[in-house]
Amino acid sequence: MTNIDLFTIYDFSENILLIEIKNISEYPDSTEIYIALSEHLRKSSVWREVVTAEESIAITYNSIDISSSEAGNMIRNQIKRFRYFEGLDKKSILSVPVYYSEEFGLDLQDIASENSLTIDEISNLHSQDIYKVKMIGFTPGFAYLGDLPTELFTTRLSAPRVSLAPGSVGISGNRTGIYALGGPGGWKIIGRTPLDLFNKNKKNPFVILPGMEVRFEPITKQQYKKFNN
Amino acid sequence: MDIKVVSSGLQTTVQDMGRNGWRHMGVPTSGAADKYSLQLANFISNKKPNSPTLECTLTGPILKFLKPLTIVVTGADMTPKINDINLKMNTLYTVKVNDVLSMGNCSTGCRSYVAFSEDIVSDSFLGSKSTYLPAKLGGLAGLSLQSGSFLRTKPCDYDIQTSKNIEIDTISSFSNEWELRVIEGPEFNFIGSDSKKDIYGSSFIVSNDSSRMGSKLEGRRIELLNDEHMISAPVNIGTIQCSKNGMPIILGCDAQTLGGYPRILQIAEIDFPFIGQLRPYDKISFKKISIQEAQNELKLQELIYSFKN
Repeated sequence: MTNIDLFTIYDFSENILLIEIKNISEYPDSTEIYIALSEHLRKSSVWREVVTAEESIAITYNSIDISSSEAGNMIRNQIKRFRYFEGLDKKSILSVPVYYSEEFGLDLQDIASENSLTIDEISNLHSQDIYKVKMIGFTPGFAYLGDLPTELFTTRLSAPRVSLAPGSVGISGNRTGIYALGGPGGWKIIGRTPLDLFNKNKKNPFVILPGMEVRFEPITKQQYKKFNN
Repeated sequence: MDIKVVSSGLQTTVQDMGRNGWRHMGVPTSGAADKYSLQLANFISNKKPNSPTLECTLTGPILKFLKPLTIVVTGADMTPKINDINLKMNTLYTVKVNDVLSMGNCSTGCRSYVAFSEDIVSDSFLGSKSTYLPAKLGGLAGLSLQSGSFLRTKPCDYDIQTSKNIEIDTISSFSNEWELRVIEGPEFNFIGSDSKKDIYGSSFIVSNDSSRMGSKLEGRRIELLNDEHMISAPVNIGTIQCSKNGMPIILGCDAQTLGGYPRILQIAEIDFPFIGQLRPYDKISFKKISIQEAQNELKLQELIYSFKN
């Protein structure tokens, strides 16, 4: 049983409700609560979309069939039946090989000079910790991972790139991200993974999911080339 | 090879009703930018509302038919012609082998939809054939139509039982001025009190920097009281974000699923089709409505235009 009074539910539009945890600073693992609660709500299959962000969940309902208050009451009932940790029982660490080089790491040289690091130091720092997938979104399968070591904190590009290759690995602020399927992006790119992050034969074809743990593993150009052969 | 693309037009893509239920994995809804005109084209063709059609942008394509088909064009009027004869909008026409459909430019609206009696052979991605250009997904290998290429079409199921007829003459044409109905967004209070009045009292101009991802607006700068970095939060089609320089951006059907700028307004879903028809230099004003009014309008629309069978 989850205490419904811990949550605020309010209208975003005529068919979207937002759910937020009140007094969020009291919950250091709020991201994981949001991820698990979203899974729980999605399982009911009554919502058109359940979008999870780091500090809120957006639920799209069919406003032709139900009113905002009916949708809100259904969500409250579902939250009451939610038990935290239900979605996070299987914990495995996904290893993501990355070829850190200027060939794919379009912004490696800039970061190296701005943050006074060598390219090797950047790849070592980036691959030293285990990251948590904080959220998925923005572009298809884009994973926000954190937190980066402070030495790698950086700003976004002033003008985002129109199209990045699938597998591009970028950094911005205290986050690192993986462009699973490519698309536009304003993060600084440090390398690329040969790992296929989209398996179209699976029911959920995205390999990286919210709540997962990820470790980056530096690889050489040869290993990158051989990877998919 | 059933249709030859003589000229591609500015940006012509295969679109349907889009992908639903994948926004949590960062997948935009996509589909037709004007889903009303898409459904109208399919309705007139007696096809399922979700059938893939061609979406043409500002300047349409020139297509040569290599097999007989029936066609219909809806949305913005790009003065379509079959050979040299004007083709009436929103009206079925049967083309013969070697007939040529040529579409020109539109002066109002932005996008036309061309539906054929057969389905365009195209790629499906996560349950939709709509093209998402930024990641090259769906449609014709994720790309827009290429001049000199060919399209294939294949017979499809028809919806023979169309429940309602549409009076073609009642379909309103577009103008260069739009009044869009909006609901105040979660961060509406991030803007100053003068700007709150300006938003409803003044008008904005659609900038040249517009695409299926979004339309930037020019006009009186909006004062942001709170410009601290926002944690990325859910956004939707029709969310109006205010960027740091005080310029609003209307998110389109290919827009990102999460955004880091204040969500000051949300366009009511009833007006989503108009977002896809905004063209650079069009004038926009906003009219505030309540959640209840927005829901009532949607229900009313469902009643009048039942494209579902």
